[in-house]
Amino acid sequence: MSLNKGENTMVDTEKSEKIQVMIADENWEPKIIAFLCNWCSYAGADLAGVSRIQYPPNVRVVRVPCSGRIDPLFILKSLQVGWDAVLVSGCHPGDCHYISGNYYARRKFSVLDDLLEFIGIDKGRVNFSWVSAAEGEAFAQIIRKVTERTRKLGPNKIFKEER
Amino acid sequence: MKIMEEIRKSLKEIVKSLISEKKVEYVLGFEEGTLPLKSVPFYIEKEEDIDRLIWNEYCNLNLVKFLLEEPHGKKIGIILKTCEIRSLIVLINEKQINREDIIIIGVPCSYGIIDFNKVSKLLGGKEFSEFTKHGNDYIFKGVDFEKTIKLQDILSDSCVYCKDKKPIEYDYLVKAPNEFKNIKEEDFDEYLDVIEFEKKTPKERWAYFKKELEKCTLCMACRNACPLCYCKTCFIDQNQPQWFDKTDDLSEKMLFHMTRAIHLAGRCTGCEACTRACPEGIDIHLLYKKLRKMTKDRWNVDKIGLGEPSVMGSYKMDDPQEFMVKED
Repeated sequence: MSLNKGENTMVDTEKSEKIQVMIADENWEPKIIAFLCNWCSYAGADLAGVSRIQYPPNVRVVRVPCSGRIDPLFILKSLQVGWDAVLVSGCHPGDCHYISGNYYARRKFSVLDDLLEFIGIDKGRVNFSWVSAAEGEAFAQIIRKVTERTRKLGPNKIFKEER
Repeated sequence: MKIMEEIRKSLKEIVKSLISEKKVEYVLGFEEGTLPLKSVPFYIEKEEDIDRLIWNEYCNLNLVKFLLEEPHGKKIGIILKTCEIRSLIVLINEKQINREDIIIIGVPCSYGIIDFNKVSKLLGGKEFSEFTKHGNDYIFKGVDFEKTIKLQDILSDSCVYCKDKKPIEYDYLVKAPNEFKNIKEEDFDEYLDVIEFEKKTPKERWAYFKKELEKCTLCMACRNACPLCYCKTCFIDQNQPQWFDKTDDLSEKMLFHMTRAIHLAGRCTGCEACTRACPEGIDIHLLYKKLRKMTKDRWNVDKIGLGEPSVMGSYKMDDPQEFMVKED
C-alpha cells in the first residue's frame, strides 16, 4: 500500500490508519542508528553484551571517538536516507575522555532538538542520552525505550517519502 | 523623507573627511541602482564620487559580506546599521576581520528597510517601473497598474520586530535628528512571530515549512548574501564525503536549510539579508529567529558583544538537558 505524497508526514498523536495498515502489511521493524562514543557508551553497549542483557536487535551501532564528534548533519542525513530513529550517546557530563567534548555536544544537540521540533518533526526521531561504561543495564533500557517509541511513531516518512 | 536627507548630508561630511585625510583606502556605501528602488554597493575612493552616495530604506544588502574579500591590514570605512554592526562583531570575534582595519560609520536605523519580496507579492508579481512616496505611502506604477502600499506592509520582518535601533559599536556616529522608533508604536515582544508560530500544531508547522521550502531551487542566494556564511567550501559543495545529491528533492532542501540554520546558531544577528535575497520569496527568517530566541531562553545569551565567547564554542556545567533520554 502506497502513501499519497504530502499526507501524514510526521504526527505521532494523529497517526493515520494508513500507516497502521502498512506496518501490519510489511512486518515493519524499526531501524535505529546509534552513534556511541568510544569511551563510555560503546563500552556500555559492550558490557550489556558481555553481561548477556537482552535488548531489541533493531539498533545498528556506529563507533565515534566522542559525542562531540557528532555533527548535526550526520543525524539529519541519517533521517534523510531513511533510518527510523537516531540515537546519540556519550559520556555523562564531567566524564568526557577529552574533558569537555560532551558539553559542546550538549549545546549542539539542544539546538538540533529544538529546531526539529520547531519545524514539526515529532519528538522521538532523534534521541540523546548519557551512558557510562559501567551502565550495561541502563544502555539496554535506553535501547528498549527508544525502540518502543520508534515503533509507536511508525516508519520514517519525514524525508524518505520524498526520495 | 527629510530625516533621510539629513542623515545623507552628515554621512557625506564624514566620508569626505575620511577620504581627504587618507584615513581609509575606500568607504563602502550605497549608490542608486539602474532600476527604480534598487541600490547597489558603492566603493567610494575619490572625493568627487561622494555625491553619488545614497542612504535610504532600500539600501537592503548587508555590506559586511564585502569586507571578507579584503586582505587583513587594508583600511576600510563602512556605513552600517545596527544589525549589520552586530554581524561585523561576530566576524571580528571569529578573527575573520581585524577591528583596527575597519572604520565603522554607524547610522541609527529609522523604521527599517524594504523587503522586495513583499512588494512583488503585493503587486501580484508585476514589475513596476516608477515609484513615488508621500510620507509612509508608496505609490508603485507599472505598465497597466498603479498601486499604493503602506510602508509597514513592505518592511522587512527583521525591522518590524526590531528594538535595536541604536548602533552599539562605531567610530563615527551619524546624528539622527530624533530618537528613532519602531513602526509598531505599542510595546511588543521581539520574538512575537516565533511565539505565535510555536502555538500551531506540529502538523501545521510542518505543512508551512514544506510549502515554503518546496519553492527553493538551491540557488544559494541566501548563503551568498549572509555575511556569516564564509566557509571556503560549503558543506553542500563538498564531494568527499558528498552530503548532497544534486537533485530537486524536498529532502535535500530541508537538509540544506536545517544544516545552515544550525551553523548559524548563536551567530545569526537577524539582519535577514538571506530572506530578502531569496529570489523565490521563501520566508526562511523564522528558522533563524527561532534560533536566536532559543539561545536566549536556554543559555541566556541574547546578543553577542565584542570579545564575548561564541555560544556554540562555550558551555556551562549546568546547561539544561531535559531533552535527554533517561533509563527508567
